[in-house]
Amino acid sequence: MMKQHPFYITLGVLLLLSVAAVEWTGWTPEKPTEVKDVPRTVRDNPGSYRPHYIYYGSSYRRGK
Amino acid sequence: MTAPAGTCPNCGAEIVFRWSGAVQTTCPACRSILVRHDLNLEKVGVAADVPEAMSAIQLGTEGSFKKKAFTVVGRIIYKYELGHWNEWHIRFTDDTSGWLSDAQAEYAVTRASTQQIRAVPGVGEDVVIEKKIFKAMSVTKAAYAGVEGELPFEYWDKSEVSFTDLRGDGDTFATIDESESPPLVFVGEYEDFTELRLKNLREDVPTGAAPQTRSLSCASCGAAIILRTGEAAKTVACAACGAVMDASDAGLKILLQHQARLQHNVPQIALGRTGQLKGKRWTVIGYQVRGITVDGTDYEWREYLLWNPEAGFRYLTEYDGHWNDVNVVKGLPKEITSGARPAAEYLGTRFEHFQRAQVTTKFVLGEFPWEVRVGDKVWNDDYVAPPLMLSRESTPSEITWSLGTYVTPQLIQEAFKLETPLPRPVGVFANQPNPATATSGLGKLFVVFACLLMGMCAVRQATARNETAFSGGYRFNPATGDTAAFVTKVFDLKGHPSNAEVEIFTDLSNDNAFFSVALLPEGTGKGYELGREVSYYFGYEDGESWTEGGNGDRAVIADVPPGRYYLRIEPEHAGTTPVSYTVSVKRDVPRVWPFLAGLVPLMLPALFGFISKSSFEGRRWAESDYAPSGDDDDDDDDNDSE
Repeated sequence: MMKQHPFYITLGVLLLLSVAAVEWTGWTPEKPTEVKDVPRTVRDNPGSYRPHYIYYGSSYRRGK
Repeated sequence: MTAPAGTCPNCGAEIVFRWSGAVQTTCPACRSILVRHDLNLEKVGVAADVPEAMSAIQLGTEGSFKKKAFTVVGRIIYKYELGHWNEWHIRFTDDTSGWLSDAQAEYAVTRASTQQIRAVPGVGEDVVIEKKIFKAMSVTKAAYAGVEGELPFEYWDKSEVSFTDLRGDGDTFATIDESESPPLVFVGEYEDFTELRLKNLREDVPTGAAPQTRSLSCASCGAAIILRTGEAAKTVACAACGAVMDASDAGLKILLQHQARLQHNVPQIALGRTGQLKGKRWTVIGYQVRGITVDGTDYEWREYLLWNPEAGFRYLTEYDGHWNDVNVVKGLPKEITSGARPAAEYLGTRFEHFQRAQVTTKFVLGEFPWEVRVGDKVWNDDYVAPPLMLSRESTPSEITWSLGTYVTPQLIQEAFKLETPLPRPVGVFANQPNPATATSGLGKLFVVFACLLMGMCAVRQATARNETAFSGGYRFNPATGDTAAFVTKVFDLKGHPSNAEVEIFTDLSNDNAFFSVALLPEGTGKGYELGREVSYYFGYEDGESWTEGGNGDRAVIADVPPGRYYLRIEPEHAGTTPVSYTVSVKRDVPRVWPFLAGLVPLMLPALFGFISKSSFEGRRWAESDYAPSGDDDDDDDDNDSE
């Protein structure tokens, strides 16, 4: 049976490895906005930080 | 071994017995039949001329059976309805004797059994001989046609004798000979010609080289007829006019003047054509069209009789482009039931019953070593285990089992080097191999992989950190007009880089709010921003309650390195009522969906294979006695080559 279906076996092993990697890293299709070089002043003055997501009353969208 | 000798009382020729147990012999000089009384020989008659036979075996032929050497010392020739056969009396090196049956290139070696039979079984009945079960397969009325050489008993004045042939497991074979009372029982086995390793054969009878042929003229139209099996031919049908004649009759007595539809029944492999199959050279000597009628519909197929002087006969059958290579089975298939259906077992393979029908011979061409008549009817049961098909043909006096193997038209085309391509198979045949069989085993592999995935999922659920790194409760009052942004205390995200789940839960009721949340590192590094709108509405309308959204939300951030983080939260709310909410961060949260998602691509090939296989089997069995009601044969236009 194993020798009969080498492609399926390969597919199965790759899928197992992929699932393990996805679950280990916590991968998700949902992508938050990554921000780099966050200023240390945010903790002192949270209002000075301009977020990427802005609310427009009835809906929100990415800002800037 | 002893070699008693004497002189012929008729002509004085020296008589040497090759076997000490011989009772009767024939004088090689004057053909007197001599019966031995101690050392005296008595002439009891004169042997009739021995009929010409195509057997290459003769007195003095040597061979071996089960590694025991033997010499042919005598012979009885029987004539029966379908021709004649030889019973060669053989002497083994241990001075015991047996019989080598030689009928239409089918060979069996038997020895006399001491067991007595109380009642001779009828065709299809079982009998136990030497603790083995045998089934009576045929009853043959045969007439003595001549003797030669040494025999273990007096046998020169017999008339018609009844023989019952029986078959047991494997190649075992038995015969009940009713020439004596009580009947004589012989038990043995079928054996291939090559396995007998025969030496000192007749040189004038071919044993594998070019077949011996006879040229004749059709008694009806005068066209040339070639008998390729020589004396073995019993029936011959003229290819020019279709007249069926008795090939054993010197004048070719006409059995049937002409056959209808001659012009429509042109063999796809011409009579006389030779081809290489299973390592042997076969000659097409006969062709017949047979058919059944099911639910008022006629189905016809074509059968080609092939002949090889050593190996005997085999068939090629063709129906709608589907070919089978068929051999008569020497052993005895076991008839069983599988659920409510009949089934059969043979050589370790289980065959499912497919169809039972009365088969009628519609048309014949060429020669046959038995009498073939247009209009002959037999009951046929087909059992299938693709690519094999076991067929049981029965008449009141005979049961014959044959085993067919599905072969491609290409194989027939190449074997017989046919110039015209054979038609492609149409529809699905009873024992056609399922092309989706290549996917068999995928289901089991899928189960294996699914179990592995579920095992991994269980391990992950049990070992994931899944800890709450932060949780805090807040209240936002939009009426104050101040900026709502604030930061939380710093918390640790531990372990390997993995996910962080941010969950917001509010007390919103028929309201909505927006939360801009940023997971930021305490020091330098990468941060993550999320915008989540929480909206929860419900009501009662037209007699039904409804809800929309929910008063919580969560978001997962992947691959977050371990470290110290804090949240910057900025709630927004269009209304004026305060909103209470909690925000929590969980680290390394296990999930189920990646494992379920992994199952899908694994399942697809197995599912596709299962559907393809089931569809093919459905079409196969739609042609059987077990077709689901409502199935009709509407797939005849489909092409399904193997």
